[in-house]
Amino acid sequence: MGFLKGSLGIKRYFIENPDAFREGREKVVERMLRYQFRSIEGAAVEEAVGWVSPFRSYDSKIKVEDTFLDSNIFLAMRVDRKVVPRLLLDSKVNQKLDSGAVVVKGKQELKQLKENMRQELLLKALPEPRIIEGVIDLPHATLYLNTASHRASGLFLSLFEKTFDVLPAHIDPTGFAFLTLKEDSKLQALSDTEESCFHDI
Amino acid sequence: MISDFSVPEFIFREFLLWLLVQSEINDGSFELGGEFISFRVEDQLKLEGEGDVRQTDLKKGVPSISREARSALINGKLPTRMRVRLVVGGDEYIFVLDSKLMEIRGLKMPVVPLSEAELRMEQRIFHLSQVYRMLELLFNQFAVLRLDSDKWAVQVKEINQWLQEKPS
Repeated sequence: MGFLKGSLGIKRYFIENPDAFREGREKVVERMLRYQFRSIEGAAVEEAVGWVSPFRSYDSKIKVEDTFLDSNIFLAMRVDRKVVPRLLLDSKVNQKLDSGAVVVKGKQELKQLKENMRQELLLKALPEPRIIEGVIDLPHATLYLNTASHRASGLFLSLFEKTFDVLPAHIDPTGFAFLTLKEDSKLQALSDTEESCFHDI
Repeated sequence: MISDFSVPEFIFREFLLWLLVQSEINDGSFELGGEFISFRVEDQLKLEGEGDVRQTDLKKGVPSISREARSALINGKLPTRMRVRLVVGGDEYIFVLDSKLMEIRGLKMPVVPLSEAELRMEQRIFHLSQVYRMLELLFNQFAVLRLDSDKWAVQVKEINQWLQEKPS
């Protein structure tokens, strides 16, 4: 599933200042490469976020021809997350304590032992990858994000802002009404309207 | 883009109700800028409001013409989410519309029979913007009526009459 096939769950954003995308295609890709995805396999790191090629999620080598499709910019953010299950962590810590390999005195030392074990397990854990896709419709200065998740969209926007120095504005219901009505006076009139009664008649 | 005003959520619930009733009255047909489109509520309708039961979820079958939907509406609930089928020209779209976020979920678009990614993407973006354009035109039509007290009174009367009718 993704932007190119299957059903979509869309969040829409307005890019008030799309200058960063008019600097030239190479410049845009250059900005993205500064925040390209870096694998956390074999590292004691919980999460990694970065840009990858929209067509090859394993590839951080972003190319102009993959990113610019006509007047649209196709973006793919990869999020890899490792989780150490609490039960596994507790059982490993207890195993170590019961074997007598480690003796802990007090809460502080137990906390340190748990943290060391967590780091050890993180190193071995396999990451769970996730791809969040976005498309910038440049003529309409609109960013479409293909996700319904608030966390995923938050991560995407944070990376987007770091990369392009611009934070897109979410088109919420009021934004939707504003885009439709195009006049503040109409929007104000709608805001001042009283609720209608369709029941108890 | 940043506005000093905030449109209350009930406006979007009323928009969904207006869409639901108008589509039932007019067999799903809406005229938007000289173009006829079809807009029908499909097999998912969620209504929310005050009272002992605050939420009614209707799934499968045809919720829009069901007694359950009318009963919930008469009891003061309004639609907050519905799955719709929109047909524009020969293009058919199915999606879930939510009054709280005015976001589109589970959007199914016409199949684009192109192998080249660039052209396929272009088509998909066209379809996506077409759906939003239609929704904006529908909302505009609703807002024109909603902001005119006389015209809106006629709409409210029409909605109330529809609510009192027995489902066929």
